[in-house]
Amino acid sequence: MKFIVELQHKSQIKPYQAVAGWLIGVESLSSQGSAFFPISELPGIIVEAQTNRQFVAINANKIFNDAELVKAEKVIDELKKLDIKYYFYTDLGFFELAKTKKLPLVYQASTYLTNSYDVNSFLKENENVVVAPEISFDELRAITKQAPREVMVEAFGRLTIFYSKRKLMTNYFQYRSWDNNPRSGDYSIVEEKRTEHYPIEENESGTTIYSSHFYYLWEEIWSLSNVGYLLIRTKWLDQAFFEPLIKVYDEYLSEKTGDIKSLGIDLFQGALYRQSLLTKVR
Amino acid sequence: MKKIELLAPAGNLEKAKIALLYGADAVFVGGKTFSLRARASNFERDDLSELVSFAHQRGKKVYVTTNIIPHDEDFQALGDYLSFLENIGVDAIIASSLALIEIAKKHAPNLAIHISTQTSTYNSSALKYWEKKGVSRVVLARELTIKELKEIVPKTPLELEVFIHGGMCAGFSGRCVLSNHMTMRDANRGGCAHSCRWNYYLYQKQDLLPGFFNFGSKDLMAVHFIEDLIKMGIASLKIEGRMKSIYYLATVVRAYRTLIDCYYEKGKISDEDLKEAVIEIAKAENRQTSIGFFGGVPTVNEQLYDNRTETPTKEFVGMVVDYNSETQMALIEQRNYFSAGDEVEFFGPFKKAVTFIVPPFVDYETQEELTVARHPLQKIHMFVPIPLAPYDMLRLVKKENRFD
Repeated sequence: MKFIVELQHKSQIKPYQAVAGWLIGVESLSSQGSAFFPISELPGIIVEAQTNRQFVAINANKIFNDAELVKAEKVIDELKKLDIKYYFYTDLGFFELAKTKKLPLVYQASTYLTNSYDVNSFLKENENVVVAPEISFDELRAITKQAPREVMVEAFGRLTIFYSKRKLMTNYFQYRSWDNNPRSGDYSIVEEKRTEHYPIEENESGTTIYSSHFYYLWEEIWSLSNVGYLLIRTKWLDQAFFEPLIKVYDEYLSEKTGDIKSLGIDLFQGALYRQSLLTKVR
Repeated sequence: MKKIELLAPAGNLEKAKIALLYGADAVFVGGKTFSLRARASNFERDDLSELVSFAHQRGKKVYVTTNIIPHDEDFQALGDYLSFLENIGVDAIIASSLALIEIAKKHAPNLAIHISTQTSTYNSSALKYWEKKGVSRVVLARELTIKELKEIVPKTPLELEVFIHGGMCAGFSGRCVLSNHMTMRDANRGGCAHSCRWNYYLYQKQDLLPGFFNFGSKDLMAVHFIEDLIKMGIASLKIEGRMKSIYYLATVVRAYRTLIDCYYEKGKISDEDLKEAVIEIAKAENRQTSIGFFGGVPTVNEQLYDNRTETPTKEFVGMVVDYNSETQMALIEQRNYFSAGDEVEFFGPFKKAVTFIVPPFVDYETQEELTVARHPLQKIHMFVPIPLAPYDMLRLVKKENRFD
């Protein structure tokens, strides 16, 4: 089991033992991510990664309209000239397009891959899939166990809990007649009867709300079978924590030592051990 | 030219029948399992069978939602349920899970499959994906503009379904887990708590900005786009709201039915027709509406900032159970308090609303003479010299000159 880590900055590429590859956001293909790199920087990033025997994967997690897919195709044609190990995507329209280009695809549908049946169906037509994080640990263990081959699992990061095509910050500031910059990237929301801060961000693709804390797997990692790669997402992670975080996971995976809680990051385990209040009638 | 379908929601058998009688060509309903909107009444198997017979006798269709994003436990008994739906003649299921679709193909090979809006199908390339999976229709993402829809329609042989009225998710449907994080209620398995409509404080770094931050959406009302949608070749126009009342359904379905029929009869929908539809819908729609994404990415006008405000509607006070055209006596079931002296409107499927002053009436059971109908579901006999039919409805216009 190794990690694929979302890169915030090129200088973060280092020869960590447990890091197999770097996930790179690029303009035109990514809507949520730590950083969107220009295509021109990718050859340099790939060379640096390969020096460490690491690969580069592309984060293509946008939901595209037809016009955006036309632009995406041009970007893909450029990227095809480079050594890209995986393309993480969420839009089945992107799948159809990328399949014609014979790209190695990883379906990261976030909310959709919540069961063994869908995971196994999508594994048949993709290089790999990322299991949804909003499930219980028992479900996660069952899904990975029943997968016919290795899958990917989210191990760390703020979860994307809401994605809208709407410019929600721009609209709100207009409603208030405020001249705040909707894209300054320093906003969070707190529900009126709760205390947790949920980061909210608007960009060209729309508005995204992230989980209030950083989701993490730790001891659970050892109970999972059939997991090829664990994902570490670094959106909203202070750059000062980047290296300590990778190191602590690196040590834990290599020697089972260290403790992620010692870093002082706001952690939570999402739905892993919480009882769903879903009202279901059977 | 195949006439466009008007598709209405129904949370129970009565609502489904009303929607069909008031002009829907098809209804979509949920069973007790596999359906979003866990709080909607949802149908037992017997009700589903009865509904399919009722619809088919009138040349209409029934679609059953199986559009949860399932977990492993949800697949128990799925094959059996899908076989049942096929056997009773359900016209299609609405699904969002690829695995569920594969199971449907195996267990109910003759059951047509519609792809739910939960899949956020937003481009013609994704339509190709679903076409290859053997589905017959896709319910498109509500984020598409009229311009984008026009470009997509000619690129696919699939039937396309578009939302025209009702609640709008603020985010991409199927990809929102706000409710899961706020309340542990799974939005994608029928437990959505509508957390996008709650009040939030907005912080910039550590600073609290004044007032509440809201990001919910106004409901969709697409009366002004019906002609465009028909002309571009959309197959089905969908009204949202399986939790809505029979009065809401009757009013909204009837308004859109009238517009669609106007187009096919006259070749266009006039400004007068549109104005009338808006006035009619306002009699039942108590939430703020907008054009959603049809005019482009929503602006401040499409957002719901004053989410405690509901606009008043006309009150639904009764439904006609029977009418004797010789004696002109109507048997009416009370649905809300009304009184002799009230000005009401009678309206029904395919007929214009007629205003009427309620005369004194008698209780059907006791034959007691009355001037007020106080009791829910109380049956009363009333002289009404206006041709009426079962399922016609009464709504209150003015409470003046009450006898009480």
